[in-house]
Amino acid sequence: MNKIIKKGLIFVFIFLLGFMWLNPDLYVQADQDQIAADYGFYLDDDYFDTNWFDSVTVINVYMSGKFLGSATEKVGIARRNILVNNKFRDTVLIRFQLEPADTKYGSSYYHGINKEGSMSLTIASGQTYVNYAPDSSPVIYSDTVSFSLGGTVNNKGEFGGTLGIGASTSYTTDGFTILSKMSNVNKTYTTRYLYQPNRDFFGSEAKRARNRFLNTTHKEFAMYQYDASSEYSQITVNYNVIMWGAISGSEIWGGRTWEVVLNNQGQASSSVTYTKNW
Amino acid sequence: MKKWIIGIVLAIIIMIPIAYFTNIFDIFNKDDGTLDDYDKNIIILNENISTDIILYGEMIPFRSELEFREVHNISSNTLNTTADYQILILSDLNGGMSITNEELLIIKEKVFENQLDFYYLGTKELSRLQEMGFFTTDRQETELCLAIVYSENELMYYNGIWTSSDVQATNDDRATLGMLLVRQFIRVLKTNQ
Repeated sequence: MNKIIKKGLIFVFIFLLGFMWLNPDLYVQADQDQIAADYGFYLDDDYFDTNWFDSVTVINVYMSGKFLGSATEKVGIARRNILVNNKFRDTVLIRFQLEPADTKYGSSYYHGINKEGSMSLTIASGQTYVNYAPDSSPVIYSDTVSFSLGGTVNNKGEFGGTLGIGASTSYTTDGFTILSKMSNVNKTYTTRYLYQPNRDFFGSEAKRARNRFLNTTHKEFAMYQYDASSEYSQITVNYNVIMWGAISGSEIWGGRTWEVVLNNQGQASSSVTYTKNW
Repeated sequence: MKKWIIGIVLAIIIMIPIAYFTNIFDIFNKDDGTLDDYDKNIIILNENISTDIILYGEMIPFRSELEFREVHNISSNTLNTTADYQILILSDLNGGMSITNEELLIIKEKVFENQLDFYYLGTKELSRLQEMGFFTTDRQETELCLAIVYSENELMYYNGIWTSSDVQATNDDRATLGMLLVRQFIRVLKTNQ
């Protein structure tokens, strides 16, 4: 009887080992960087030292002097805690948040609608390109998109991703598109989130719903990775935000498609330099 | 006569789907028609969260519903509060505010002990604030608002709340400045929830 139990236990043990070997992701528990996770990035504490900058820049958007909304940024740098090819490997983590507003001016209400939020980083001399995420390979739309950054994206563009090495991401969903590229000539990484409201004269409820969706706060993310010979990190990120403005007689915007008028829009940009002496 | 009636009926039949898809009748639907984001933010500060907003210096034309108090000197007494969330605005955009080093030291102590969110509007006193250790990094010349707040469980510096670009875009509309400040207070509150 004992032999049977022993054989059974050995069989179960071997079976479990085999199962774990085939499905390692289920059992390798990373030491997640909780602060990074709060900002929407998923990093393993064991491999990276992460610095989040203690400043936030607000960018306000106006249309003919009327406030449409604002955007805020939050930036960190995750440094690989060992040298890679005798260089420091930095990954810049950017969360850019678009915050459209509904504002009363006299008897009219101005509604901000996200049109574009973009960020770009030009690597300095002494820094060499490694990778970026998300990129612009096409993906097929579905309501809950999951893609190769190792995380998931909800329908407001909020995703959790690994460092995006080899990531092929781009994201086209009903309402917005992500375009990302690395320009070798300018050594510039650029990520653009483009939003498409409905501007038809005839607007169904579904079309109006998309417009209402674009009238809410959206988070955008980008990750840029470079190798540097200097221990000192200095980067400059340029931000640009464009919002459409719809004018209505109600504080709660119904998303009416004919109220989204071409050229009724505001634009603002900001350039922010970040430095870190590790 | 018959053709005339048929014409009207046909016109109505055609107009119904057009009216539906363009939501033309929504023009008359004002919903509650009164509260915009600014009003809603004021309600949160007045009613939902225990807040003490203090203004020192030049008046800012906030919406009349916002509850705040003006003080004419800074001391432990005037900054004393039982509120959960305290905000101090030194309003100096026209350069007319005066404040002593002793008063600034009282403010600094409270700011760096995370008891007070601090806003300085203007540029005249920036070098003195920097010398006294309120901030270290040089600021862009376009910045007209220094904000040192307790956000996301740490001391944070906010830039861009009111800049020369905002002045230009709004023709220096101080009512918009008031709205943006209230929006900022709520932004910080949300990060601490």
